[in-house]
Amino acid sequence: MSWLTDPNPALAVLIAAMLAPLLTVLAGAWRPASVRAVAVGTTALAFGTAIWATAIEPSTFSIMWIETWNVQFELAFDGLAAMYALLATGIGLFVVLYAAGYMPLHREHKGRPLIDDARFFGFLLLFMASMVGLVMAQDLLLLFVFWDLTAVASFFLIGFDRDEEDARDSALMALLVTGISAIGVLIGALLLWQEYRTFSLPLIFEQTETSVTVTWATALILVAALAKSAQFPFHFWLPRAMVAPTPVSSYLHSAAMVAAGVFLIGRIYPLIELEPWLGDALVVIGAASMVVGGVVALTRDVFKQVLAYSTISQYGYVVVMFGLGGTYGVGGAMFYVIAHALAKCALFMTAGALTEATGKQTLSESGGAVRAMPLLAFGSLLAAVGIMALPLTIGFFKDELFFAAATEHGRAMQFFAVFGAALSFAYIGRLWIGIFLGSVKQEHRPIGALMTWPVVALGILTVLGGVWVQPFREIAERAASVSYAQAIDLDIAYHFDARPENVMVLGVYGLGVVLLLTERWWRNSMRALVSIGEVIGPAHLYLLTLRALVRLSDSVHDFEVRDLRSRIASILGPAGVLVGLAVIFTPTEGTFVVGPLQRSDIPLLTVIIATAVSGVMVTFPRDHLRMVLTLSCVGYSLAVVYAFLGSPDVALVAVLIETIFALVLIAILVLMPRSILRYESRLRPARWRLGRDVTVATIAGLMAFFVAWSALSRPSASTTVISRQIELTPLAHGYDIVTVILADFRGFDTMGEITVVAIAFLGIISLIRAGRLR
Amino acid sequence: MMELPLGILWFGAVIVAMLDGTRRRNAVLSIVILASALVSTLVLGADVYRNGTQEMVVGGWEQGVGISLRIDTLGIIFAVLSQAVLLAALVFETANGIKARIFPALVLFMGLGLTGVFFTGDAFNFYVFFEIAMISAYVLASYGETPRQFRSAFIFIVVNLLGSMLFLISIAALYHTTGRLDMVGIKAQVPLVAESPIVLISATIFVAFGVKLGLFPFHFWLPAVYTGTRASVVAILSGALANIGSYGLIRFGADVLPRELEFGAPVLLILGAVSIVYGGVQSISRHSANEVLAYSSIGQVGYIMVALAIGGEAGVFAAILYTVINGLNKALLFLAVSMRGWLVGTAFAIGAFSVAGVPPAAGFLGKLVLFQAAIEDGSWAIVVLVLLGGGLSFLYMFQLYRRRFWIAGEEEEESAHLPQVIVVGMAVGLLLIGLWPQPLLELADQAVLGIMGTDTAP
Amino acid sequence: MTTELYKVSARILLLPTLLVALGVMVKGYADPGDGFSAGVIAALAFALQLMVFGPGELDRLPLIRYVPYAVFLGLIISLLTAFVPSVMGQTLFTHWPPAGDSAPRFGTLEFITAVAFDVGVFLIVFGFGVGVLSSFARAEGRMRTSEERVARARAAEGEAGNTT
Repeated sequence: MSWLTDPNPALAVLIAAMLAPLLTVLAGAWRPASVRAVAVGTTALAFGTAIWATAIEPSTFSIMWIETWNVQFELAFDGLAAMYALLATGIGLFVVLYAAGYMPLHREHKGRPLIDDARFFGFLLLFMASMVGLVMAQDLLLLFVFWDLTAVASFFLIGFDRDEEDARDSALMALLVTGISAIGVLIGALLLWQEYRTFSLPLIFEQTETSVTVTWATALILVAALAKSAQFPFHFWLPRAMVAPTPVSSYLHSAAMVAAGVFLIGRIYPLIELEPWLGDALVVIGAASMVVGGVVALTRDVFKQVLAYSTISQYGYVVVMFGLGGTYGVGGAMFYVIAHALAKCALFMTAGALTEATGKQTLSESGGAVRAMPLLAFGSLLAAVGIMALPLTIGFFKDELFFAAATEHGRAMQFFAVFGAALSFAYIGRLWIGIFLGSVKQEHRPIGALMTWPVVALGILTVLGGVWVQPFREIAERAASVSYAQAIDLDIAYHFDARPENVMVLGVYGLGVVLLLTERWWRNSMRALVSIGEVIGPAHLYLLTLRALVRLSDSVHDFEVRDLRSRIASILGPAGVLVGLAVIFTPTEGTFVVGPLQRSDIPLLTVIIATAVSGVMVTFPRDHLRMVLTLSCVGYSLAVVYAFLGSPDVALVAVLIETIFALVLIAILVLMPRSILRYESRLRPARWRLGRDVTVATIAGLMAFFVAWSALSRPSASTTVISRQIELTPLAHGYDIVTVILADFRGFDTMGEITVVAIAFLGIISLIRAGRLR
Repeated sequence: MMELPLGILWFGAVIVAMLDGTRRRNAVLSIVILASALVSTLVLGADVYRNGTQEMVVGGWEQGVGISLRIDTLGIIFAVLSQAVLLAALVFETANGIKARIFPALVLFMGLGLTGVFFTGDAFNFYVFFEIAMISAYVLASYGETPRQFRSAFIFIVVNLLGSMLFLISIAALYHTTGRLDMVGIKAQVPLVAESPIVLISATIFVAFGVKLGLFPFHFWLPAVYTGTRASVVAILSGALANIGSYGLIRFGADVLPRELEFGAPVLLILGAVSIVYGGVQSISRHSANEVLAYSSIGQVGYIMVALAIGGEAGVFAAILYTVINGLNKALLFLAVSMRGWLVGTAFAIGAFSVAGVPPAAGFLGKLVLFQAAIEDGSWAIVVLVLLGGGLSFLYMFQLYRRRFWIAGEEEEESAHLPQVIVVGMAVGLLLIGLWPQPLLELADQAVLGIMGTDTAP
Repeated sequence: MTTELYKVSARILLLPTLLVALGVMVKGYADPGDGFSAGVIAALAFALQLMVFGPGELDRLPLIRYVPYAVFLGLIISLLTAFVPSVMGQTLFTHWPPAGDSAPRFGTLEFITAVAFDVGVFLIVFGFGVGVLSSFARAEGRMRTSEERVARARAAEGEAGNTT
């Protein structure tokens, strides 16, 4: 039992995380009221395991998973995994605590049963568990599994309030964007497999060299990562995802879904480094997201919308930093994720608490909440100043690192960085001021302590990080050194000098305050700008695509064939065309031979012609009885053909079958109501239909003719089994080869065919006598 | 005892046919029969897996004179899949209450036909068992016996008889040109015969199986039939019977007539591609759940065609894997969509994720091997095509899920317990395959090796 | 008058036809014919009775109601000839006596299991033909009575309508 005394940390973390949703759901099945407590307990356990695993040496776990492709179930609890696992479980713990206070209120609002708790916490913790699995996965296939699992969990969480159309649409949108883009990970993984014959990331990193395939693979994986972290132009799903219950939003934005995207960038960073233009692309996309997110966030009225767009812009920073690269770029990106997670989570919780307390969701309807909820105001103030990068908060350092990375890339980058940071200063300031200051516009119901204290705790953590940065710095450094593949030392401290970073920070404060004070001047023009963006933006494109698809689907459906004749035509026609193509595209030399016609063949030929003529005649009569009789003519003439060919057995069977067949058909006609028969015999098909039917019938006839002709033109193969069967017939106690074939050589076929007869009999009996045999 | 599964099903079906299937006792008897056939197939499968292909000439005659049974891994995979789907459908219907006396017997007969098709090594015997399966399906399609069911059964019968006839013509022509009916013999003879007749025959065979599969443009019967019949029957038709089509194409194409398959690859590719796009687009704005799933089936069949068109070991491997997973998906989805309740909803969602290729539901394996085959082949067009098809399937599956289980989910009554358990069990099975795909992959690998690896000249 | 003629000749023809069927079956191994043809011939003999006498008369024949079971009996017989060798350790569907050995004879008749198999085939085909045709006939009878009933009800309704 070595695994008990000396547990593998990586595996232990995964198991602890996986236990959380499992136990929660089981608790839900056992006693729904216990779900919240179980959820909190199991999450705390997972968090504790993650802390323990972080404290000891990095560890790996590996076991053969899919032998055919040589895929290992390979986990590693390295620095990068440690950072994100701590975020997922730690922030997760705050979120679950908050949700324990939030869900009863939410359920009450929506009139939902207690059992919904199990559904909610089950998916929330599945989300956490798949995040934990994702960050530890060392194999691209395994990573893909966890990657999509987060999309699955988020789909159910965003659509949690499924009776609201908005929730349903948003869930679908999030699933479509993140799910379809996730195929990029799969294709990328397969491309890498094509190159290196392995899905294992460590093995791939060992032998990487730049090649077109690798670049493509990396680009495809990046698409998935950017879509998930809601970067322009895939960002539109994130603001819509705000319809989810608040705990989901705060988790999604701080430590789960969106974080997963930037995590993946960190995970495959060694591949990105190979090709400089990938980094440049990241800078451009990140910068675009910063601007779009920032500008839109400044104009939004709904708090959660402000926060959602702020997330887009903040992760834009992270992506830009990854793109810039270098110690400050990569290290800064990691640090930024941590700082942002703490603060953003708290701000979302604030928004949710406020909405639960007042029922209001917009800035224009809110204000002055500081008096009713001072504690909440305090906690969220700490978080807000964290994002605004005021000194003595962890956020100050995140901006310092960003500016340090930008400084390495010249003046233009510096200006852009200041501008971007000023935007975030402004929109977060606007949000907090709008909510808590000003005149009181609404009543406040009391909310539970569970909805306030997590905010305060996170706020304090934000400040703590500004005072005692060491632990956060170390986590970020260890994570960054995994991505950067060399040790990274982040020089984080307060420097009281005029270095560029400090100057830039001052610039941000100045610009940010100006933006805040001048809101009334830029408000309208900014809104106009944003509404233009809405018209030409990707969200609109998404809607247009959906609508176009529905329209296309409808119009294609009009072409679907709906009557039996057309259905038959749609098979015979293409079949004829296919055979025709085969005739054209294969060498026909010697295939279509016209054999010699001897005098002795003339009687046979006459009967064959008679068969053919009666075959054509079947199509003429409209009267059912005449049709049946003509059909029998075909059968009887065929029987004569068999007789001429010297197979009396077959001829006998043919005659008998034809007789009983005609009887059965006539019996059916007797059973049919006269009126229907009369109606049908009077039907006249439309002219075009008749023409089509004749054409298709001709094509089909030609097809059969060509197949038969090509087969018959061959002299029968030299080693036909029939000669051997004739030889063996006496051995089988028979003189009549046909009977011996039917009862012995191929008696198994006969047995099958009589089974068919028996089943047909069952069917007829079922229809006519309701299945009663007697 | 390689004929044991056939024996159990054959005798069992005849005995059940004489009993009243609406009685619970008799239905349970038929479940026991089918289950024991499945068990014996599994045992046989283990033997085949360990000791290789088993062959036998019925009647003790020499190869070619008598009918040969030939059980290889490919046959085992398909037999197990089909029997499992049939079993699920039968238990499902028993739990819901069987409404026709002959239903259990027909399911057993269908099992017999399918198992025979997958076990036989003789082209005409293939047709015979094929007919056993088809005629059971014809009768089953009318199960329920309302005018709606009769109408769709009628379409089903007429169109598929046409397909069977085309197949019969091809078998006859094949016999005439090669002089053999046993597949091994045909395979050995074909290279000695001129190309043209065989290509013509292959085209006809392709059409015949295309009709069974519901491949564009031979699919027009399928939506009408799948929307008109009852849930358990649709599950059988789509999850078990349709396997004949893909099996037939793999067996006659990749195994017996590989040269012709390669020659026809462009046709397969084009029709497969059109099927994928056509089925996907059609599914998007269809209103009834069964209609969405029916068009989705048309699309999914396209993937199998594309895999076969890519060809080679990777392509055939993908085709096998895709067929198995698609069969399970469709059986699950058609059963689940007829029911109510959050448990069933979850099961449906797992099926939907499987169709869309989202892990850990098994469907992603199918997409994965298809991408793999396409990338190996260097055909980027196919990668894009599969991506497009996957996107469409995301859209229509989850639109359907939303409509079926999120909007209307509350008002209607929840379904009975036992049918729910079956559906959930199937969903769990899909998850298990996705989480531990090794057994299935290994089997499919061996199947491919059995078809393409060794040259089995007589 | 003609119906009488039909009836008499139908009755007369029944037995010879059945005999022919029997002959066709047992002689199948030497001459054209087999269980399948024999079954159709026998079924046609009953079809003739059915057409002439109607389903009511036919039902009076002994055992006719059990004809549907013949289908399954025949199938079971055929299955047994196929699977019994398999149970006894031989190849599936091996006939007895083995190829080349001499078989017990009765006149020119040879007793071999292939004949038993053919008997099974005969029963199925015969049962099918008679079963299907008689159920059609019965269904037609039912339909006619119900049509008559409807017509009578309509007429009664019409009268009632006239009086009011």
